[in-house]
Amino acid sequence: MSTNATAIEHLQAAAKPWTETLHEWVTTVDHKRLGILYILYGLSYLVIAGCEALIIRIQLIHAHNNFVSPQVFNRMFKMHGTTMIFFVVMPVLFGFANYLVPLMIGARDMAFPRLNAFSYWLTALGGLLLSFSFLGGSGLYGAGNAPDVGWWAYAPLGAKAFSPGHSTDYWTIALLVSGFGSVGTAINIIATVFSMRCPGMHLGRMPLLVWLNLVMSGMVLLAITPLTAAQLMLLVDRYLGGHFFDTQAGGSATLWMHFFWIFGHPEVYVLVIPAFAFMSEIIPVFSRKPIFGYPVMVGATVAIGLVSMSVWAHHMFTIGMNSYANSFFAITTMEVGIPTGIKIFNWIGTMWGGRILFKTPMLFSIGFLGQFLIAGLTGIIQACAPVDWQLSLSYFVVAHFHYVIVGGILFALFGAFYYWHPKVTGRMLSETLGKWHFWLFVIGFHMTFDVMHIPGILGMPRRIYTYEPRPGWETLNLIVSIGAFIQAAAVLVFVNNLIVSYLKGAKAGNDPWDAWTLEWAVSSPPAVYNFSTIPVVASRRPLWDLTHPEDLDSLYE
Amino acid sequence: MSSLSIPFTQATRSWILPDRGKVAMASLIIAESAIFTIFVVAYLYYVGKSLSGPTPSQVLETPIFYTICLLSSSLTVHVAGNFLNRGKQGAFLTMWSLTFLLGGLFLFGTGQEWHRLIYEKASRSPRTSSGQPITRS
Repeated sequence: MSTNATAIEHLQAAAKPWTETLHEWVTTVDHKRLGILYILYGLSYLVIAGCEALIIRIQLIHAHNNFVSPQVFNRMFKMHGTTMIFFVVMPVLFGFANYLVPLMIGARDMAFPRLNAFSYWLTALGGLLLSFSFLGGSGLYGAGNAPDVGWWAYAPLGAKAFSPGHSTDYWTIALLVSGFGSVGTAINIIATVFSMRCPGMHLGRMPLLVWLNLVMSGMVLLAITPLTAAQLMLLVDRYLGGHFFDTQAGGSATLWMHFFWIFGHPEVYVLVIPAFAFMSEIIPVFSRKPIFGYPVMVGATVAIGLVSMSVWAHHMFTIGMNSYANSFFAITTMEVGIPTGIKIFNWIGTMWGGRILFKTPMLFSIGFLGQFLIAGLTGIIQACAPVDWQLSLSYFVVAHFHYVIVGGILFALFGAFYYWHPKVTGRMLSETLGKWHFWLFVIGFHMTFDVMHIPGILGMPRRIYTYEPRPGWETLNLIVSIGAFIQAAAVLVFVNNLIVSYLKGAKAGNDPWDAWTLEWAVSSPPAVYNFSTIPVVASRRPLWDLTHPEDLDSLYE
Repeated sequence: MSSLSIPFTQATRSWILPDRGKVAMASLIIAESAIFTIFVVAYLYYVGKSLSGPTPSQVLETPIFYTICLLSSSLTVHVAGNFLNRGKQGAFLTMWSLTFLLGGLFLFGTGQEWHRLIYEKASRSPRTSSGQPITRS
């Protein structure tokens, strides 16, 4: 586009009243804008769910504390868990997928732009419904009453007798609605990847981020829908006299647990596979090498997707399954560590011998590698049923899954923010603030979640409102809570960095990292139509081929 | 705002990818199958275990005719789609109408089933020794 055209576009943008801009954003079907909306929505809920976590940690900072009531405490940990999983991590990951997948495959938009917008607004409505329960959970009586039945709502807690009012209904319907949104987005990603790739980009040349989001979307189809079905049955139990999960009428509480975890454990991989995707793009660029073992990485991801659908009942070792079931789920859980280990090996293989640049995205990636490895290892420890019998329902489990979600996924997400922010906004994030963010977060994270393993091993149960001042418990909990506040401070540095850099950050240019996938070929931020001419690619690193015609990747792939 | 700073070569041969509608529909069917698998598992698990009744065999009959209607409607809509693709408007409308008819019959049958389930449930519930039906509030 010519300079004159650019100037006219800028003038037109400047002249628009804010209502028109708002209208454009609300009615947009552009995958990039929807991606940004998903991400901003997730970040807003990150602040809310983070505050809920801090309330939990203040309550547990010393024994016999009564900072909040037991009822409020229960609501906080229910809302923290649900919000973080469904309305922070998933929307942010979907946001990145929305933004990046079409750009990376050389497409002008998603396969179904209107479905894309519809899916986003369903997700947004789901989160708002859940939040509204703080105000409307008791219906017209006016008293606030957010759901307080744990993020899994085990039967009979979800039943009408144990959960009167509408708080649990808000939770159920919020997840139903956002679940439909997730399925819509997953279908869209799958159709986009299979049907919208630019010429030359056959499946073996797709960027790993695209491959991994494809696998993630396939898993969403199979993992979210069981939760949808279970939620519908819960509604039937609550309002139509059904007894699916009512043990006193012949139903089964265990059935709910199975249905919940058939969703719940694959969901962990739904969240972590996009984090793997970020690592698979960032690590090669900052190691100045192509990814090590591309086909194996794809195979390992598909294997993780398949095996992870058969591990769910390792969350249920303590309910008294028979030894065959215990063995099956222990073995499959350990098996999933094999392809995951292959991936870690390949990322390290990519770094090995590379010219590593320790920019902020790479720092977060290195943090991810070490922490996710530890998270995986504590997972394998718990895959052993007799060990799980000792550790289940203790703070060890809380430490383990926060190691996965925060130490793994959130670190990868932060890395992704620093890596793609220049593309989205046209401006670089501050490296200085980025390093402050990284180191503060590392310190806070390890203070909180390394230490949290110990009270778990000492026998401190999870989900408790308060505890006895047993030897070591108070000091350990104090350290854990201080670490949580340091993490909160790090997030504030990050938010500050986002705002300051958006306003005053250095201009990024098209390809500030000298990267090689297609999104870096277009301007920052990209035009509405992404590509004025659809590109043709001949290798996995099309930009490398363009800038290094003497050393084409296509000669070796 | 430029859209592409680095010129790529133009495609020299045709590039054929699967139809996005078909891919999306296949994905939707997979998702729907997962939902209904859970429903069927729950039903099979629960059937016969109700402590208060009535059991399905007490109030429902196997809806053979309406099942045929439901399954046949998939066939007729498929045929209708084929006619539409070939531009045969009249044949399409016939099969399309037939699909609606079969779907309507199925819905009518399902409604009848629910009506029986709701209004005849009390009379067929297990009874106490005094002959009063056991019903749940």
